[in-house]
Amino acid sequence: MKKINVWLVDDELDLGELFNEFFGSSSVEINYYDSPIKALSELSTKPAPDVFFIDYRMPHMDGDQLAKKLPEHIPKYLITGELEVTLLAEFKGVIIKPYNLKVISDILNQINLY
Amino acid sequence: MPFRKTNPNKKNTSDMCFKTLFVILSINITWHFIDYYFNIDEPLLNSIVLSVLYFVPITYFVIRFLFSKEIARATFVYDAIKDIAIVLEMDADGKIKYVNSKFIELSSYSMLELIGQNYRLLSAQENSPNTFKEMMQSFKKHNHWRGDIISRKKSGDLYTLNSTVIPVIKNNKINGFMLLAKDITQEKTLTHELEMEKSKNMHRSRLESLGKMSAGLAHEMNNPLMIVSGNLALIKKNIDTNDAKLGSRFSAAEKGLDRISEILLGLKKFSRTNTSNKNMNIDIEKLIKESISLIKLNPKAKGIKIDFDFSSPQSISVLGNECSLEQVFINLLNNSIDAISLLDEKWIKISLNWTFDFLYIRVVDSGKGISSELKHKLFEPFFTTKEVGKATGLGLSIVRGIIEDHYGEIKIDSLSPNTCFTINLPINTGVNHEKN
Repeated sequence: MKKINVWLVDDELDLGELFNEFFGSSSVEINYYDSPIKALSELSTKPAPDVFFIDYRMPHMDGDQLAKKLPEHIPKYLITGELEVTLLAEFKGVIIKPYNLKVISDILNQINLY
Repeated sequence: MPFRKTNPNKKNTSDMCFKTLFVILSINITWHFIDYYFNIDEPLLNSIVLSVLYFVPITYFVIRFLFSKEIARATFVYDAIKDIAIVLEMDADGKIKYVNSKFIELSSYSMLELIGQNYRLLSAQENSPNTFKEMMQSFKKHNHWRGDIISRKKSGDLYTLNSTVIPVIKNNKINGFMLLAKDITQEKTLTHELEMEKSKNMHRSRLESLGKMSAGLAHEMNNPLMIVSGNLALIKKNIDTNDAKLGSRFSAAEKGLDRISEILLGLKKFSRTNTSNKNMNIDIEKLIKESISLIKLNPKAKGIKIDFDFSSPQSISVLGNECSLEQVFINLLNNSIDAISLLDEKWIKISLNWTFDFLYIRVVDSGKGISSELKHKLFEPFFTTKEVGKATGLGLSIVRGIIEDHYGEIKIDSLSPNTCFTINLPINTGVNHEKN
């Protein structure tokens, strides 16, 4: 089983750590970035992930703006605390905070199947 | 064309002229009579007397001719006024002696019904007691009084006259009154409606800004909430699952976090203050529960037991605007909280009953009810029993407006020993679904 590479971009570092604690395992690698700019710069040096989880409200740019700059073929999920969010074209799905961890693990399992 | 304000205290000139004329004529006739009868032959005396006697009447007629224009003008002006304004003439006791056709038209009484009637009987109770007090004070000083007088038509409808009441003075005593007025009923209504619109708009924009604030607040709280619940879950993973006490502590903590989550969700929904869409299908049970969880945030609500009694296998829907209806319940609940927070007995009970097409909601609090005088005024805009600055008094009038917009009714049940509001709303019978 290939190890899945997951990137999380959320300005709340604690949430990144939490994400890592929950889902990081021998089969899942979690990389979390608290700034969209950092994530973009890392893209040029590190291998691209299998899936992106992107927070909507971030300093410097919104989640959808970031998504537009990322490679198109990689699935992206928008995580947001807003209620009024329409599914934007860049994203495969929207996850509303506070999210059920099961929602995330289901997505990860799905990716694993590919 | 401006005309001189006739000072009621000046001696009536035309009256004097007539008296003078009479005296002169009498002297004239008497002199001629004496002259003829006694054959007075005093040429100087004769010419003096005759010249005076002829000079004076000529002067008189000239003055009279000049003055007649004034009289004519005054009469003309008075007739014009009767066409333009509402005119009433009363005697010193206030009994009506003359009304013009405009007043008859307005009051819908006939001339016969009005003449002899005391004007005070026509005026409505809605006038402040100060109105007549001020009038009396002005009259004592022989001054005009200007102000608004509210009266009742024969049909019972109210109308407002912007009036000038002039005491007619003769020999330094009040001889009667004249009332000149303009009907401002429509203006008053328009102004009132404008005020209502303005305050409704202000309220709406206050609501919207409150909503925006809540949205920001709720949003900010979600992250730390996630952090707490996430780490809690992680800790739980690493503890001894057989320790029952520890387990129950975790449950309690998780429950607490769930409650916070619910409140934030409610706040977020509240932030979506969209009051324009009137075609939303609203689950009334959910709405009331959300309103309750929102007002529990009011620190005054501490210690108040709030019960919501509703059990139905089906959810009941109302067609309308979710945000506005939520406002109704939040408003009623907050009013109850304000009313009972200092009482010994503190509770609020909401119950729901329904027939096929109507929903009946009762909101009862432990307060001792509303007196019958207040009951009628309660829904009036700007009416409040709270001190100045504590409440605008707008809430219930807006609440009633919202309920009526939803084709419902809100009333006070005065038969209840406690303060009880009853609301009925039509059920959206097109939609009926099983609760999940």
